[in-house]
Amino acid sequence: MFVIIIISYAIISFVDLKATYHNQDKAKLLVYFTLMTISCAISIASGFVKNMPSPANPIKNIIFALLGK
Amino acid sequence: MWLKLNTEKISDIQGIKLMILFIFGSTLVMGTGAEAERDMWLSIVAAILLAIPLLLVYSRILSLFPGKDLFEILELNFGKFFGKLTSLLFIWFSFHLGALVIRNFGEFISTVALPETPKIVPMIIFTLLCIWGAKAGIETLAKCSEYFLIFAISLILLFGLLVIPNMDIDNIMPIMGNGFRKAMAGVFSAITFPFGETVVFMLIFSSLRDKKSSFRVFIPALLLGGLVVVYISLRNIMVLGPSTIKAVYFPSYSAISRVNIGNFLQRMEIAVTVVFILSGFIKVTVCLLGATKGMARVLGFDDYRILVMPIGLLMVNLSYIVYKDILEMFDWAFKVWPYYALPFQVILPVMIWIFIELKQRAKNKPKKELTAADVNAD
Repeated sequence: MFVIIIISYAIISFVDLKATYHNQDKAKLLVYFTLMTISCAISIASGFVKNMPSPANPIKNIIFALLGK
Repeated sequence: MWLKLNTEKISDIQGIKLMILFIFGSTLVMGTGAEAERDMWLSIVAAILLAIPLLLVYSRILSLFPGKDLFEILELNFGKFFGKLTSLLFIWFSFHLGALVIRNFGEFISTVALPETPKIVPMIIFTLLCIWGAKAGIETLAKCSEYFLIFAISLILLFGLLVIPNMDIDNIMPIMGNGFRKAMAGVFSAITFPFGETVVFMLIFSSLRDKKSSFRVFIPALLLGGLVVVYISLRNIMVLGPSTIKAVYFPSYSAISRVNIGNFLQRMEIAVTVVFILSGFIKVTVCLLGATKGMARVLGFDDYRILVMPIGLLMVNLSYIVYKDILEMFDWAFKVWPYYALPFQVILPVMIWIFIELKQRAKNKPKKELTAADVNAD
């Protein structure tokens, strides 16, 4: 699972950047790879952890607290 | 060849078609204003009327700065720091909305067509398609929407006619029988889903060819898209009845599955899936465009396309972890979403509009006084 996700992300990044790599400056590539790494890490974590923390619950709790429900 | 930000242009008609499909989005399968039960259609009509001033605010903000998107407008008026901070709020809203629609799609496919397949599979395939759409740009998306809309409307009208034998007018009677409070809850729900969601278009409507035409796009799209939503909800309530409509997850799918013309024309519910795929594709792609264009602007990039793939993949990740199951999805959509969306759809835009209007007036005042003084001096 872990390896499959990393390979998938590597292929996607390669295909995505292949045509445009030479036109990109370093700052853009840094942002690109940072976001891809975060995304890959979340994918791996959600593959192993059954109930990942979701932003839906804190938002729901805050709204219900504000509404007094 | 890489295109720069704001170089793509779409016509007013294309903008209207894009927005109509965006309004259809997941509304046609999930329904809206369910709190009003048999008065659902009436609540949606009221929601359309109440959404008009809201969309006029969106249009006014855009028309005060022709050719600029919301991110540029915010930076111009609030300065770099606060402009970017407010932009981030809209980027989050657009990103989150896209993720929720992807999840709606995953749950829908998993419930009606592929129960054994892991949810993530259709969600990834659908998102990759949206990423492709976003990379192609708004012009391509607008051209797609021209064909998609004809197809979607034709299917909606055709199956609306075929389901007439299953309709019972008593299902919508008595009008306002459940009281004013429930109807108002339905209005509130319908404003925030889907009409207020069109706030996302403020992030991408710098692409309109006629720079002063945002009024001519927002309002007709709201009225036409809203009319179809009213028609769909009337059809669903008349076919299924208020008790069944509360018990099913996807009312349109259940309503169309009842089509049976002479034991020959049956199992037509696939049409609902087709319409959802077309309109869902447009909605997620518009959200992805809004989020990526915003991020590109915040980070100071001249092109948003390099961000489409990573943000699209983050979107699908969020959509996967955001809910435990379909029950939580519907609970969140009907109980939490209206309150959560309100600041992004109403409070923030209205505050921005008031601030900009006051700033514009203050800016124009000294000029007027100066002109009057010049005339007196002459």
